[in-house]
Amino acid sequence: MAAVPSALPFSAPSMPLLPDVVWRGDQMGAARSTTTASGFQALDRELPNGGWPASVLIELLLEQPGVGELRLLAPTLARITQAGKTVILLAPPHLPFAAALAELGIDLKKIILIEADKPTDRIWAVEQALKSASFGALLCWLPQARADHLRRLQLAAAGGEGLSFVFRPLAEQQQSSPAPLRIICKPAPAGRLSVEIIKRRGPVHLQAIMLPLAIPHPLVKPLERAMTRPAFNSPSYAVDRSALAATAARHRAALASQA
Amino acid sequence: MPQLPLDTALRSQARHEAGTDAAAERPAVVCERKRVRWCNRVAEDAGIQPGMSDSNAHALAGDLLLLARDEALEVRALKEASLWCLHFTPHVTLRDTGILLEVAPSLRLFRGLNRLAKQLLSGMQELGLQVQAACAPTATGAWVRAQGGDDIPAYSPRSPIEQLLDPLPLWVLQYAQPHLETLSGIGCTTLAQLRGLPRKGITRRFGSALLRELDRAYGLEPEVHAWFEAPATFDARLELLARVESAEALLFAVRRLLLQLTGWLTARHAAVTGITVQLHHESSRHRHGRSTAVQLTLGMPSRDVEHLTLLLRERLARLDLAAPVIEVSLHADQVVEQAAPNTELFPMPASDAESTERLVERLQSRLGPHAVQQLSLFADHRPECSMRISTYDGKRRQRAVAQNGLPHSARLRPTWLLKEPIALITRHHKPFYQSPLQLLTGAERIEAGWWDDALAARDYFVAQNDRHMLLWIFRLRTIDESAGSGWFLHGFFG
Repeated sequence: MAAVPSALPFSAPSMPLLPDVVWRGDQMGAARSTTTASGFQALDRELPNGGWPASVLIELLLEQPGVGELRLLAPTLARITQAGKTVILLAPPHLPFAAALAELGIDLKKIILIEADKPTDRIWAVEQALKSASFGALLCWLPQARADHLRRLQLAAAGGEGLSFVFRPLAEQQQSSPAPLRIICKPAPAGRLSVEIIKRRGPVHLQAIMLPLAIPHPLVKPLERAMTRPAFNSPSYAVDRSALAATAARHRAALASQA
Repeated sequence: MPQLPLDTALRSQARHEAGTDAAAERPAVVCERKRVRWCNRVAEDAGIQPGMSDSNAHALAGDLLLLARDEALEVRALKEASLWCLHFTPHVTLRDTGILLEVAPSLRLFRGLNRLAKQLLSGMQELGLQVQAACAPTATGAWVRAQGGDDIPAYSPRSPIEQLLDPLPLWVLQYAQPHLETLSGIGCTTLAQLRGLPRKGITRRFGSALLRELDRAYGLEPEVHAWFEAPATFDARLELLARVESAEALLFAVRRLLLQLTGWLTARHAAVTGITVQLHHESSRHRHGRSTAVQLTLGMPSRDVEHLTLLLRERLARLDLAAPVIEVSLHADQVVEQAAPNTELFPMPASDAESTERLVERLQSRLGPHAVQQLSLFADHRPECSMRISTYDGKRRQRAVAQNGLPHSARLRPTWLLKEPIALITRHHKPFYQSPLQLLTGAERIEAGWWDDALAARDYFVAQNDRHMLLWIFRLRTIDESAGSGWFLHGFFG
């Protein structure tokens, strides 16, 4: 029994020699998978291997579409499309606005949109896309996917080399998911995005990261001003036409009664 | 053949070809002139042997299936099988009860004889044919080995031909048939013993044809083959054995046709971009001889049987059959020439463009052709008209999509555009979306479209709600009663 500690096949200092085989709880994930830089240093620092991992599902949890998810992925997608690889948008909730995407540096020729209304068709289409492994990045919106669907997709994703992003509602946060990387995205003041990594191959990460997303230039100053000023003090650009119409009608009625 | 090429002979007994599936569990025999000529295994177990009279066979098995021989059908089945064989070699010869293939040049491509034979036989099985395969360095040698049945010496590429053929019984030789009794009478029952007889004597007693056959089998005399040539167009049909009512069950039949199609394509160094499957319905009193056409158009030429099967499976699964199907035919509409794909020295991930095209085809086959789309810019000031979403087209995609250029790139545009603008309510005369909206920018006026009856006269603003979402909203310039507050949400800076 006394020999047990020395009978271990390796001692602590030899651990770095086996980076892929042995994973310690305080380390980031193994260096085996390839990654793509997200374009945000603050985020890359917290992602295992410093970037979006390839050939696994990356789950992005949003309260609703439009919080800044496309601007978050824009630097990655721009690099992927410019490298000549295809980006697939599968069942997006709204129309991706071509001019804005082009403005963000994304090559529109490399984008394929896929429409699938029925949930079963969506899952099928995602699985086919993952299996074909013919894309640089796959963005799919699966609001109704169950955990067993995701497990199937996670297995299918293992064969490819592209990035697979799955967008799901924030309410799924409490449900378990087979995706090895899960991120909550919330909008933040001044057009930024607050990113919380709730699951990763590495130690637990609690703090939200504030990411300065790309903001169209004319919006920068108004956003800064809006931060310092509460919403209700801003001047209203709206003209209350119904009130004016009522006043005019009263005036006309008064004129008529005088006559 | 001048040298001694390695041949594989394949005997496909086209007996009761039309009845193989239905009759698999029943004893079945094919009769010719009141005599049983061929019987299946179940019939053999019942004690029926070739040469019996048909009434005798009936007495042995009550539920016997008596089939008439249809030679035209046999020839057609052989031709179908040879189309499949063209997958493996261009050198295919038809004989009246079998097929000869010269496979020596193809062994490298298919990585060995065993793998080749396995693929060949599995295809034959899918075509519904029972085969007895054998190979030998000469064509006739292979042929007689195939006649020999199961108890022939095993083939190995290094064994000399004498070892392969010597132990075979004499009845495998076609020209020995009339003399079998005489030969066994003089104690000659195997090929080796026949070879031991004086050649002059064989010629005098049994004719020169027998000696020539023997010489050809042992490679002592050259032989000439008329190679099977694939027809110029492909059009195959298959009568179904039963009325098929579910579209998915048709896939089985369609696959048989696809096997022939791909063999034909391989032989012609071609690939298809469009095929039509005609489903012929049972004709009834009211509806006479109708058919349904299923057309399949491919983005990339293909001759891959698995790929085509997958596409047709999705198409057939979506199909509602109007009436039971009794016959299926397959026609290759668009054929293009294409060399065989190169295999890569180092295994690489499939080339991006090609696998994308395949993915698109697969998705289109289930979701419909319009479900796969691409984006392009269009010079128009109205946001909903400033981009075109068109059905994906691989060829057009290669050309520049945005020929109009960027119309107004420096403007403030959201990344998401709503398909239909959402009317917003107002509170305290301010637009409201989840919370009162704070307008961040002044109005950008877009007034266009008087030329095509879709006039848009709007003032666009960027607004923020108290969840810090950035919205793109507009107000109509002219407000009528139906428009509500006149404020609409049109996009998100997502």
